[in-house]
Amino acid sequence: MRAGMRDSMLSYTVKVLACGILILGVFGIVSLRAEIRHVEYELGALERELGGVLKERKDIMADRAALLSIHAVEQRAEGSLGLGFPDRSKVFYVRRDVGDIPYEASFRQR
Amino acid sequence: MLLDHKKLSEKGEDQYQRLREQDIRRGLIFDRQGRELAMNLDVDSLVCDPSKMVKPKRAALQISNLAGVSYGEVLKKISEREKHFVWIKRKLDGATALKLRAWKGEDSKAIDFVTEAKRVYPKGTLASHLIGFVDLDNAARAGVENYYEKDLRQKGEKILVEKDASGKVLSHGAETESRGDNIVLTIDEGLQFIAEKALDEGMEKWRAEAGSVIMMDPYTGEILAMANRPLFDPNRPGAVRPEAMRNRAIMDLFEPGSTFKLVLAAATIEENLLPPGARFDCTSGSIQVGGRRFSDVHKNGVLAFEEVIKKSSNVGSIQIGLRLGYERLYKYAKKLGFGELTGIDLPSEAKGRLTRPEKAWGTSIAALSIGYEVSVTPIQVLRAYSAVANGGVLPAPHVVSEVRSPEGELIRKLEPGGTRVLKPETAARLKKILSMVTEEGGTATLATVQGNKVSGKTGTARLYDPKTRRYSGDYMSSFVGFVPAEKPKIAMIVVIKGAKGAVYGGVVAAPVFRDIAERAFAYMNVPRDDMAENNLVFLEKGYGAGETLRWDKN
Repeated sequence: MRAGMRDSMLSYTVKVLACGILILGVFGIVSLRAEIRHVEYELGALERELGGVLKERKDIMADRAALLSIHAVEQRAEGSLGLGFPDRSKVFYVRRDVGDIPYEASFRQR
Repeated sequence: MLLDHKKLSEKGEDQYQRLREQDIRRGLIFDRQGRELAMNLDVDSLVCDPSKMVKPKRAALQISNLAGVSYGEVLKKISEREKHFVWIKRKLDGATALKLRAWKGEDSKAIDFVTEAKRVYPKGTLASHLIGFVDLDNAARAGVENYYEKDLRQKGEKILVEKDASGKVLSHGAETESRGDNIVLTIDEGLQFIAEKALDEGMEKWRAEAGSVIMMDPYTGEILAMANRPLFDPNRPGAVRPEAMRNRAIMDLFEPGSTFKLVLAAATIEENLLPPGARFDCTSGSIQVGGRRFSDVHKNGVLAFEEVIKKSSNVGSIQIGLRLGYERLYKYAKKLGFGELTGIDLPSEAKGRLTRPEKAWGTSIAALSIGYEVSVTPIQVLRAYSAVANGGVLPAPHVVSEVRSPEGELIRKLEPGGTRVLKPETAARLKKILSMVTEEGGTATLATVQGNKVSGKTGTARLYDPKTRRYSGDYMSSFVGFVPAEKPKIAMIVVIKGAKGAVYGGVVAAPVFRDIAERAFAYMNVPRDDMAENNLVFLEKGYGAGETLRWDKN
């Protein structure tokens, strides 16, 4: 009688435990799945942020290229700085003073 | 149920995964010094799911105001209820995209934004005919963009992306873009700018209709600058007539006039046609051949061979041509690349026309001797003169020097090519003759560059009107040459169409040549011819950019 009750208790406990593990397992999987989804959302958000930064980088590079164009530089140089494009007639040349060249002697045949 | 595991898991995967095409980004285009000439930007395009629209008429009004699209057009698009995706406006500018993103209307949930690549040309109109442009789908339409399409545009692959229940993509993964190879051009932004500026000044002065300038390294065939007018902005190609997009430097055919006398002179020297001291009587000022009279601009006296070229005498040239004969002249024209494609790496190059000897008629020899009854492109003429400049090798003109991977690794290098067409002695003698053209008494004294000798030839030819089949009142004025004459750094042609007030190449085109050459030499730090003999040095180093160029190899 007592052994029967013990078996019944054990069986009941095992069933409860099994149910508990099953429920916990299901919750665990669901929560893990939700966590993964959450991470994916975060990853997606970060990728969008990265995309935004890369987009901005491309915009800045295009602006830089436009600002560094010789046309833009010349406009600013002539307009606000009073500079001009190199004029060949205004290039100065000077005569090089080579000084005394030392006498060179060699036995090597030329 | 469990037996359907495969089917169900596929269904599940289909719900949270999606295959997506990689975004295609065209390769970049650089000038020879690594300055960006064509790039890509990521821009927003406005799309809509019409099935989600609640009040299309009100939404269409608001969207049309914000996006700058007509009300009717927007309404038509968003009223297609059976569709789930329609483009409303592609490639919005930044400000419009911001306004639309901030819009909070009843139907704002039905619109969305798709990021697309937009091709931009940060230097605007600079070298636009050479670089070309692309259409809305980034497919090439002209220029280098078109010729090197296979390198610039790589085929994208499909990538797997995760999406949520609403279909929103969660993560793209790393490889979202397929990037094409980069192209390095032979042109230099500085030289291109100089050429375009001087061409603009020349065109404005003579109120000309169109014009072209090509600057080339005569040894390698590298195109350093290629300018055309009228111009267009490749960022807005639809804003101009297609006529303005023509790369006239390689597409426009014209009768070259006196610049073609180079062929006559080359053939005469190579064939050893004339005895020493041969002279030509040009006193009458005209000559009759095949029932047609050909005249000189001014009456000349008795001229030696060199003087015929120097003074560009038609009468003298025709007399030489008659001695030479059509077949031999034709042979040398072919040798110097006329009537053939130059093979330049740009689309739609014109071949030109050169009448075969069997089809030549009474006046053909006289006409060909002075550059008529033949049609050429500016690049063909420049190539022939480059052959003289470099000592007799016909170079292969090209505009691209390297193809590089997006990471910068060298994939392909385009090596210079060439064919010997003239003896070095012939080229040397021609150089001297062409130098006389820019000297006192020659036709191109206005092409003289300070400190360096210029060799070249003027050309003035009446324009043939194919509609009326007659010569019109307009002229094509040109000057082609190279400088410094002894060891040329650049060969260049200037062609100006329809100048008003003056027509001669020596008056209209030669000063443009001089302006470009002087500014280019200052930019490139090319020394004066007399520096070595007079033991001169620069007081200060000039504009530094030239130092990195490959000018010192000759």
